[in-house]
Amino acid sequence: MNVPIVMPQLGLTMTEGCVSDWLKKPGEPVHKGEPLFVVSTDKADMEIESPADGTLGIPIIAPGQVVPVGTVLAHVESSAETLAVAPVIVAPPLAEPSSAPQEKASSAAPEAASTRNSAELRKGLPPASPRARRLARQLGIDISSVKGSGAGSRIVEEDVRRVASELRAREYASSDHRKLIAEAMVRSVQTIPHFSLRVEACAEQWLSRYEGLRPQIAAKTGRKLTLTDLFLKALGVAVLETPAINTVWAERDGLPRSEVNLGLAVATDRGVVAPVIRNVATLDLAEIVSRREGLVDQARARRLSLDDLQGGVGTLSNMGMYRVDDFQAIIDPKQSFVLAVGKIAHRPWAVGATLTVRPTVRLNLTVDHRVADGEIAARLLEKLCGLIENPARILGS
Amino acid sequence: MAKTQSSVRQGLDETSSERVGTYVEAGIEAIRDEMRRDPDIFYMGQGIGPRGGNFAQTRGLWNEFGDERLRDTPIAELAQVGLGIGAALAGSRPIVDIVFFDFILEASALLIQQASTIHYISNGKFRVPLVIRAAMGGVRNTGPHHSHTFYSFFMHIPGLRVAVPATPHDVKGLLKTALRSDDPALFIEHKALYNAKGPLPAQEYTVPFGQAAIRRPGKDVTLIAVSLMVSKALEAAEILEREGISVEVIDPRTVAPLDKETILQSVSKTGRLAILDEAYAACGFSAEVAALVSEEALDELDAPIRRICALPAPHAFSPSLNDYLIPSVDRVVREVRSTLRG
Amino acid sequence: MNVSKELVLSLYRAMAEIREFELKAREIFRSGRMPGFIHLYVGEEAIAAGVIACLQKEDYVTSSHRGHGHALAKGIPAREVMAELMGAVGGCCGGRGGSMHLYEPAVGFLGTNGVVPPGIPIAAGAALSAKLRKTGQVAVSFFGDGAVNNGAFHEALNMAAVWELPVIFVCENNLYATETPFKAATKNTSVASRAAAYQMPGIEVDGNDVLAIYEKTGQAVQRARRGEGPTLMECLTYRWFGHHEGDPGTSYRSREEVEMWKQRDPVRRLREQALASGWAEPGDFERIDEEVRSLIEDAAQFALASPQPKAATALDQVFCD
Repeated sequence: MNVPIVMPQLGLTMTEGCVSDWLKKPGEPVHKGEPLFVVSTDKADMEIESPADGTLGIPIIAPGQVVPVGTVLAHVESSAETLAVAPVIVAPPLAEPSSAPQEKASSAAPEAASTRNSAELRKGLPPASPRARRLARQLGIDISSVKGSGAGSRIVEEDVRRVASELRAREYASSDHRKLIAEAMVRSVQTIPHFSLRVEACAEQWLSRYEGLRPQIAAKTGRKLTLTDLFLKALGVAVLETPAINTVWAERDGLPRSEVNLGLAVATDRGVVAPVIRNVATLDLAEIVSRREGLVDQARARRLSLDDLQGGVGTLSNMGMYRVDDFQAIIDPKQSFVLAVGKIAHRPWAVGATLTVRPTVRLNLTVDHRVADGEIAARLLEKLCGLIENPARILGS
Repeated sequence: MAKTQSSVRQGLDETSSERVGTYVEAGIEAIRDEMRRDPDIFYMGQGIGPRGGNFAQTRGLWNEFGDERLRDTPIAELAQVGLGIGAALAGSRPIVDIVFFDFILEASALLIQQASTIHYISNGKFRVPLVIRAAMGGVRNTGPHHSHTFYSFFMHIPGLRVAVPATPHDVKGLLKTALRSDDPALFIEHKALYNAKGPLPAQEYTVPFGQAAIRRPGKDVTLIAVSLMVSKALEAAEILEREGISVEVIDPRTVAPLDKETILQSVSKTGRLAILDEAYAACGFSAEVAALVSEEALDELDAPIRRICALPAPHAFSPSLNDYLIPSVDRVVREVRSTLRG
Repeated sequence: MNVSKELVLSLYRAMAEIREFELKAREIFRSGRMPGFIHLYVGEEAIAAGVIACLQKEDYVTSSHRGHGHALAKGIPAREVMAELMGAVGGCCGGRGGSMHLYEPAVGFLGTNGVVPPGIPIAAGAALSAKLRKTGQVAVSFFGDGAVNNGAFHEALNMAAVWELPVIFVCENNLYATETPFKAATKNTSVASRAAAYQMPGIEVDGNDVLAIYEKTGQAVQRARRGEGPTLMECLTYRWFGHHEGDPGTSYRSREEVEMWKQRDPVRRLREQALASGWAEPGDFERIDEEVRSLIEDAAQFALASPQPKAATALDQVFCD
């Protein structure tokens, strides 16, 4: 009997993992409970024990390949079976000269095992339709990583497409993310003719409203309101009221969208990602808090789907938590603008002809010139400043 | 044979301002037109003269063309076909009516061993412009000797053409093509369709051999059917549409030559294939189409090919048995649906 | 019957050509150079020669597996028949047919045939066409005694009779169907008598007497052309050799029987009869013999030199259009 070795579930949230190393070679005897291979997860590397006594078969899944929990990685062939099958496997007398040296017998074992394992390998492969196999070849997807939804768990075209889309999303969260960011940034700078506008707004009422709302939101939802949430709301409303900028160049039609979808730059240990919050302008604050929290968690857990990353018109990047007064950000190549928000700090502030010190915030808006001219960008910033300086309209009083 | 350019979209229920006629009228019209046009055409068979044929398939022709060109024969299929071949070799263009397709077996050796080979074997010196006309299939429970649909026997033979029309339009157009062709052709109608109505243009036209009709466009699964089964395929497609399954129904119209292109294109689009056939599955039309697709378009398939055929038992007389053996719309719906589960 | 020198020599020439052709074919076959298998007509030459002498070029003939003699007599050149036996491009069918599938529309030759009965209804069909097209052509079907117990014989003769078709059914009764004696295959061994079943004339004739065959066929052809319908002729004859080349033909026939029939050689018989009757001189026959030898030698050289068809043409002409 062959005992399958599967990708284990190592914790509540684990859905997939990869074998980083096999501790035994194919054909080598293994004992139940003996460490057999190492699984890499996002948290740690973990040694996994053999589920049975026997001989390790040829791994079906290559080291380093990410597969869903439950995927068969290899088999342990039980000793009983090896013995039972051995006489069949041994070459007939004609094929093996009787004068064969004694060592040959022992070296024959792994060979025999490998013959049998190639049959096992075939058995271990999931059934897939020819159309699905072809698509997998074309997309460079390992068919064994696809879970079939057809009759008898056969992999069909749709399953491959689903995995392809998940893989694309996962690319964002993979260790290659740095490279992806680099490519996107280069593409943005090289292809988007952009300009930047900088403005400073008085954040006195903004801060006091924030302080007032924080306990309310905490009481209502148990969640923590952040300044980022307020900036999302304000930017969403400002974009909604400046429809000319609520479009992206790639869509060509130039038609403004009916809803405002904004990306939020989130720093993760693998680099920045910007999950999209949809319909920001019409969400109430509690909803924004909950969406933002969810997306940030997923981003850090590398669990964002492709959908979570698509469809934004612009991005908010808030570095207010650091000692950054102001900065200029780079537009996501599929979007139209990015708003860079610096730290709210007490700064000199002229009220009429009188110099005062007030909390202020410096906003830096970078815009795709193909989508909008300076005048439209200026109007957007104007609105945004108005909302920050007089937040009652959107945040109540 | 001219290669198919594009398949004609032609549903069975297409309404138009065109003249409507029955399937049996279409055949009579084609024969009358062609016999008027070509004095070398004559017609022989059992009871096809003054009586006008078992299925009224020659009604009125004897009155116009008389005993010489509408020849009632003894019950001698072998001689009918043999004389037909001889007459064709000598320059006539005979139509031999076998009436019940089942009875072609009595003379099949002559079609397969003689008619199909002579043009080739004589190095092109002789032609055999012979049309075999017959009516196949069950209607009102005709039992094991009058119900067969084994048209695929003749698909197997190089040198024979096999037409299996589903509509009055195609009966007229394909029969004219058969009568103008210099190759031996089997023109096989379906008994249950003789009274079917459909567009029947009065004007002159032909339907080329080897050009399928897309009876209903769809995107999820390709369903191939000929003759009577086309209407069952369309009924099933209608039902499946309501479940959100879009079925493309293709009627090859002639099985030899077979319009491979249209079938392969459709399967490339849908990724799924079902073949509906009133005949048996083994070595039949459905097997041929399935083999074609697995040979030439395996990578297009997203699900196993389904064949929906007569179950392998002789044609029982009892309606309850026969209805079970012959593919029903329910069975078609079930089988086609199953292809969507991969 | 008024017998002219011209008629005698033309009948002699036809028989001598067939005889020489068959012996040459046998020689080539035995040398291992000829594909397939052949059925020789030696001993039966008078029937092809006598019957076909009554026909016009445009009249139709269907034949059997033992058909080289009919093809030659109907006018397919010996070169083309021999090359066809070799499967060579110079054959009358480009090598596609071989011995049992010789066709030539130019002389109304509707084929030798690998199957025993089909030539019978096919000839009737050609006659039907001639009748419908009112061309005055007649059709002749040659078949052996082995064909007459088959259903096709019955169906075709019946239909030809009821439609009064201009066709002559010529049974070459050589007493054996392969190895089965005719008397073991049927109770009524008179084929001619079966004509009564269809109400058509049935004529029995000595199949080794070419003049008798010529005379009887002439009457049947005239009858057919007059629109009076078909005739069944039974020609009693014998094949000298086995059923096919390679069959010694002696296990089911006695040597005495074979020898007896060789004594009735139709070719020698006509020659002796002509000399005795003063219809022709010995020199006439010697001249023909010499011409025929040289004609057949030429045919053999032609056939052996003719190339095989190119494999690339194997799929040509499956269909006309």
